[in-house]
Amino acid sequence: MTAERELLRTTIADLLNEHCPTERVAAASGDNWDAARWQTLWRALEDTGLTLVGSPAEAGGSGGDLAAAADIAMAAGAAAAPVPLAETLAAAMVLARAGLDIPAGPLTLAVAADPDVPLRRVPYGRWATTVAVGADPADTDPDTGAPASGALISGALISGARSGGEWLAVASRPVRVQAGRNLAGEPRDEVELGAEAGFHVVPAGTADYAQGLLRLFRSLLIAGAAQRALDLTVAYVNEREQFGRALARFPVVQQEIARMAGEVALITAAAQAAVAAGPGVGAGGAVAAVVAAKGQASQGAGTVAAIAHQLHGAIGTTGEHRLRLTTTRLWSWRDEDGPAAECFAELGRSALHAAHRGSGLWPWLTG
Amino acid sequence: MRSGALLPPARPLPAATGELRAEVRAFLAGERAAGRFAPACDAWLSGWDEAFSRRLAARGWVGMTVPPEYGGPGRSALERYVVVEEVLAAGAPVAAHWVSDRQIVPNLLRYGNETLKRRYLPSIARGECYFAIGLSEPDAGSDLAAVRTAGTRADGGWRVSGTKIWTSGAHRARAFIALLRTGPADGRQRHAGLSQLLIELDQPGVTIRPIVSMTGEHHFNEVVLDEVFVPDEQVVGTIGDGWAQVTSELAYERSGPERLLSTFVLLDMLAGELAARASGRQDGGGRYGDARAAEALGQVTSRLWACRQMSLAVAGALAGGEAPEIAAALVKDVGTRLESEIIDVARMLTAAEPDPDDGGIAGMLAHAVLHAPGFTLRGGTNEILRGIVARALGLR
Ligand SMILES: Cc1cc2nc3c(=O)[nH]c(=O)nc-3n(C[C@H](O)[C@H](O)[C@H](O)COP(=O)(O)OP(=O)(O)OC[C@H]3O[C@@H](n4cnc5c(N)ncnc54)[C@H](O)[C@@H]3O)c2cc1C
Repeated sequence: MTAERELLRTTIADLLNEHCPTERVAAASGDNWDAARWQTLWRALEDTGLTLVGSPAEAGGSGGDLAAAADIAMAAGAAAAPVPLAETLAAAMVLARAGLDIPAGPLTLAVAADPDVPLRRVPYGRWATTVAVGADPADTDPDTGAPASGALISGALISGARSGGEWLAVASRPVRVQAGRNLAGEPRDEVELGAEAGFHVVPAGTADYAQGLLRLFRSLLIAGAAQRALDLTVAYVNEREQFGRALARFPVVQQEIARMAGEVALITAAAQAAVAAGPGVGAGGAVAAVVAAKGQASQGAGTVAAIAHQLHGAIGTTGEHRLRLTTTRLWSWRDEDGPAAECFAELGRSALHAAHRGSGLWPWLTG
Repeated sequence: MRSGALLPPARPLPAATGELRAEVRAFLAGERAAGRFAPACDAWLSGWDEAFSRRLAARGWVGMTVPPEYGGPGRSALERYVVVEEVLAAGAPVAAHWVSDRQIVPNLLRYGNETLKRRYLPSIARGECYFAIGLSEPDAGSDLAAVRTAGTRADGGWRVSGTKIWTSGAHRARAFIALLRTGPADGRQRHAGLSQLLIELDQPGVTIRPIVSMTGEHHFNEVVLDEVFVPDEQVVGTIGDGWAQVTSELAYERSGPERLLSTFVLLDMLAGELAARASGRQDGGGRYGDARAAEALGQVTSRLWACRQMSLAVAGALAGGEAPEIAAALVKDVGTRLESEIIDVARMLTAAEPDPDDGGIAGMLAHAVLHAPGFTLRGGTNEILRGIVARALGLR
């Protein structure tokens, strides 16, 4: 670990911990997430350049590599920070890759099939500038190639997309936003892009890249939260006494803590390996690391949350306890950006192709 | 405990190992094509084939970290890791040299005196010298410090008596590395007074009795030592330091690819069967539709992929001179349970019932099912490992 990475990790963790004490984050859940209360944190993050790590300086980013951005996302997951930090990091990377300017302020990223259809459950859609990417050039008339009625994309854009490109929209003021939330009370909003959004033709592969980043950053958030759930539980069983001694002294409790640690380590190892491999899904000849990592994170999240709650007893189920800020996120995040079943099915099909080609699973698994 | 300290950072294998991997893969494919071995589950435990060991050694792939001055190729621990992965993934018969390669080489390089190194390392690297492990005793299983086998001081060495049990391959090994008492336990310090000795098995006073497994295989033995003379030069490391030496050795043993790949060939065969079924070339009559099968296969392969990343992270840290104790124990706990989960997925997705006499997936399944109980026992049970993890995490 370089000193620089270590410094980044402590900087981000300290900043988030300072701004995200239990009561403040708890108050932000339910249906009362309020942008005004998180402006100070966001400004502090922006001022230190932490919201745009991983995007090159030429594009308006802060520089640094994916691994550095990953450290920030894990810290955000651990702190249960109710701001679109991971989302902004990811959206900026997509814009930079497409050669577009990164707008100021918080960003959020969505992959869509059709720009005319409202985007569902967009993180912080009411506050952040929405960056939407799609491979499908909207509904076009199969005969004339002209946009179907109501299509937002101009004819010029369609022909760009036709020649192998994809579309990307930047909407700082969408025509309509309908507030929604996830189990942790994080904003998950319906966003209608509207004709005012800036549409661009972007290189083919942008949508896959965005999809990979969404899964990767969601896996990292889960990894951070899972580690926090473990830390909270270790502290709790050392402190809570029953039958005249700390819960930690009971072998059954120890076994469960170790089982939890195994899941946390697995989630973390998978997410780290996906960072090293990058968000691409490859040519199908090898395991798509991001898909495997998200599948693992989605599956492990439930196990981690369940053990954490069991070992915390009734107190962990209360609204004022820190644990639920983490577990409600785990329960939401596991189903966002690729639930386990979707990732497993995708991976399984890829495995079957490898087996079908006759090379077997091993080269695919290690490739 | 500091956040994120569970795992050492990810360190990809050096790029140069890619070429080595390809060489090993090609060699193994050739061996299979020539009918010199058939892939089997748990072949690192039960696939004893001395000719295969010698052929592998001839390529420089046994005792790889033995330096040239002791007759080895002097390659790195990570290069060894790659070779081990490949032979395990192929289900190749590597049991004969397994203990020598995994345990004895690092142990002798670290603690061995010059005589021991010259005596054993060259023949290990030739794939000709096989070892067993003498830890367990009838009354000392998980509680290893309870061993009663003892050495008493004799002229120029030790006289050793006692009984070891579950000694894999002792009936075919040249020697075993035994943990025994050479001095009294020091009050409450039960770990004091233990030492490691290399004991040649073909000598007076050594009786080896077979213990037949439920598979019908002769794998385990009981080794009875009756006043066996062991010269001083056969002492590994320092008299009285046996406990510390054994524990450091176990750390190597915990996180290797053998803790996740024991049933890999079954998974591979299953994928082949499912792929064939999906393409309609053959109707295996599985119990689930293709979509469900793909999902179940994806679930278990993603977990396997993740376990491998964890094992690689530990291997990288070990190679860098660190001792990631928690992560190593976690690899074994998670990985060995996965080895059994793979069997369950295979049972769920294939129409075959386990059949010991079958040459295909049903036979492989039979072998795997009967070997599975050992996965989470050998090398320290998962319960004991989880206890170690909990304590290392700061549970008091
Ligand atoms: C395939 C295989 C190969 C082996 N090869 C060798 C070999 O070559 N050389 C060798 O020396 N040994 C070998 N062993 C033995 C192995 O090391 C022991 O089986 C193991 O250490 C457990 O000891 P035991 O079998 O006596 O079980 P026990 O220690 O009696 O344990 C029985 C059960 O009780 C549990 N238990 C015990 N103590 C505790 C505790 N404090 N807390 C919670 N649970 C506990 C255990 O986890 C286990 O589930 C082999 C075993 C197997 C299965």
